[in-house]
Amino acid sequence: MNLFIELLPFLMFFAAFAALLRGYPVAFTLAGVALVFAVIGMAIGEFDPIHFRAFPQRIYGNLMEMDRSILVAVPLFVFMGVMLEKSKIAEELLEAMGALFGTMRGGLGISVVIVGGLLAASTGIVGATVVTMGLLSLPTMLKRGYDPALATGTIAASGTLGQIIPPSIVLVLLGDQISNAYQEAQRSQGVFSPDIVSVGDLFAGALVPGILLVGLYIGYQIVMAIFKPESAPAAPAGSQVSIGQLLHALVPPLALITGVLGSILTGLATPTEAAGVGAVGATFIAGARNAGSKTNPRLGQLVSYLGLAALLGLIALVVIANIGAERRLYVTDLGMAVGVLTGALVAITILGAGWSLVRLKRSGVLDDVMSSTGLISAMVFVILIGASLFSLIFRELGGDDTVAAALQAVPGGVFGAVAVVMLVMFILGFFLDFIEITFVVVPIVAPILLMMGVDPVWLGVMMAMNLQTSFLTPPFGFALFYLRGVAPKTVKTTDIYRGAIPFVIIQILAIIAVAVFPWLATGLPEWLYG
Amino acid sequence: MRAGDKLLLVLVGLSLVLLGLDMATGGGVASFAGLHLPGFAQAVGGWIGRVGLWLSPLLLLPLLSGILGRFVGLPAPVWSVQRRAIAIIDTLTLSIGGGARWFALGLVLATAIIVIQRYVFGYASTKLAESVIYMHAGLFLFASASTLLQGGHVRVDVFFAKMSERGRAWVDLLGTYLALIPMSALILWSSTGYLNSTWRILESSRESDGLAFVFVLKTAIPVFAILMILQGASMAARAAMTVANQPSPALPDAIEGEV
Repeated sequence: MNLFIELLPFLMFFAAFAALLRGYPVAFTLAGVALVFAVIGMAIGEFDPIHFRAFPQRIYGNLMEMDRSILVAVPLFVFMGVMLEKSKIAEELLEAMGALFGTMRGGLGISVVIVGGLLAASTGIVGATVVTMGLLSLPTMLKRGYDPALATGTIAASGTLGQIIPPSIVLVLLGDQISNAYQEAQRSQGVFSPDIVSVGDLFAGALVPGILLVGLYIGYQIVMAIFKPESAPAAPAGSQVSIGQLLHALVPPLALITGVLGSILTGLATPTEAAGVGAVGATFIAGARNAGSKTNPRLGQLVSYLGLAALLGLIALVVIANIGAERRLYVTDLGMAVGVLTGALVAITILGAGWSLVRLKRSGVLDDVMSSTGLISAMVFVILIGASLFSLIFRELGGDDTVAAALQAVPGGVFGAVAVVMLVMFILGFFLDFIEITFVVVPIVAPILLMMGVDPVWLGVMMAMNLQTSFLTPPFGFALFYLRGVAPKTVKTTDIYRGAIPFVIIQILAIIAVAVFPWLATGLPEWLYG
Repeated sequence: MRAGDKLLLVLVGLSLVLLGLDMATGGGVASFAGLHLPGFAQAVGGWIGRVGLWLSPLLLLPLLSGILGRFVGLPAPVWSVQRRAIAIIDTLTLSIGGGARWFALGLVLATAIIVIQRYVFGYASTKLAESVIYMHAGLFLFASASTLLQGGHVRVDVFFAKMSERGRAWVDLLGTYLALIPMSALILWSSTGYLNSTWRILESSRESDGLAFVFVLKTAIPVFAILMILQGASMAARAAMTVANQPSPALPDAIEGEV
């Protein structure tokens, strides 16, 4: 009987895993399994139903209180990402980049990696990125005579960059969970004024590894172009693109991403605030780019772009005024001329936003964007509700102590424990989405690892890279499934698997690099925030 | 206009009328509400609870008809009643979800206004900041049922994708009764105490200059549970029809969305 009680948390975990594989929506399955085990716990006197009373309060406290405003960044980033997707940024970028680099050997592959990285930073929506790029660039690459394995591997891998390159939704949710775990770990160690690790820290931590990955991917393209030229042929010259077209494709999204990421990394704005501004910026871009309609009067286009420029101008004004300032300066401190300028900029921003919204509403794009935002938001946060019931009952059944004991028993100390957790997460990544893993596994293991002295930013970055690799690994990786769904029949599934393997090796090398040189992850946040 | 826009307009109009009356009478509406609302809410809540309890056995109809219908022919009214119920529930869900989608735009605009206020003019409004959280909660709580209808709640589809149509229907039917309805029922049951206390004092923000509607925000959680139970019943009824070889009503178009 005692053994049964000891093993109950493990049973609960495996039961959840088995139940999830049946295919009922994850959020409710987690809650259902938790309830079954709560009843078992009540029957053997290990669980007191009084704890159920805390459940609605937990939902309220976890999701809806003022100090949880970081979670609002999720719908805002989704809004921004879907809006950019509807404005066909990806198409234009791929076309422009392809025309620019396509005449070099391996150039098309390089442009896919770069666009993947840029898009990733703007949306963080993995499936969407893989599907978009699979539809757009795979046919071109195949037509030009690319090796199908190289082409599909490049697209799948570039699609997963969205998880690791900030600002990604994965990092927001993971950062939030790690931040909670870090506070809990310090509290239970009796630290009364705990250090805080924020989503911004994790963004900063993930930036260097993310860029490192982009570099390695490009390096691989170059190596292939040199040593296996037939796998990555150059396009015949001809489809020239003008500088103007290139700038038109590249500048607005790049400005938006730099603005959003820059204001988070410099600590000027919280991720939520930056996401809100980013969403408005994306609305301007979509409004200017004909999203959803055929015609676009020049004047309207101009109004939308002026709105974007005014918004960026406002940001620049705030940033420049505050460089080297001893205290925060506001418009009211800067005199008459600046005040008038600011007023004008705000007016133009509002005008541009209003015009863009009216246009997008008429073309139906706004409705799609709002509905998708609601859908994804509900999906993410209802899983959080189910997972919070799961972890509530897991804890009451003594799961925390069991997992802690198990991790401490792993040979090799901290390193062994981290390695085991990473391996488990990697395998779970074959079956579960990152949201479930983040909400179920991280709250259980992260406090224990952090108490063993692991750096929270490093741990978060490692987890994100690990999951990203998992989604790319044959035969179960999610990115490969998405790509299979849109790839033409002539591409064999084995081609996709074969193409993914070099990128998995690159990923593993990068993870080892971050493991051996933790400053790759921790350096930038330390330098930025001290 | 999509479904839900009218609902939203009515609600906004009603709030504006109340606000106007309150201003015109110098806080009359607020003080009236403070005096009478708790008692009124208690009575209404009690009645809703009783009606819900009486109606709850009906929830078992899809489960029973699905399992029985798999083996024996059931009289036609069993299915036509369920078809009618599906139509009603789906319309309700889509209207509420359609109204809630505007919160997404509201979130974006409110956040942008907050940022400009704060960084350019150095001014912060607690009410606006709190309204962002309200809209965030409203978005995911009220969009959740329509997300279920549109198949937006993620499933682990490693095996699910390969199942037959009837196999999937069995998963939906049993999953609803083993997971979705118990979870929602737990939320409902465990909410009673805390709903009572939050409505008794018409709980307001902890900040003195915050919004005074925390009790409404907290009530959204059990409302979410009720909506999920209803949509779960609709999903189960559809699954029961597939299991029992009956034609089931078509699903509304799914909205694309992938994380």
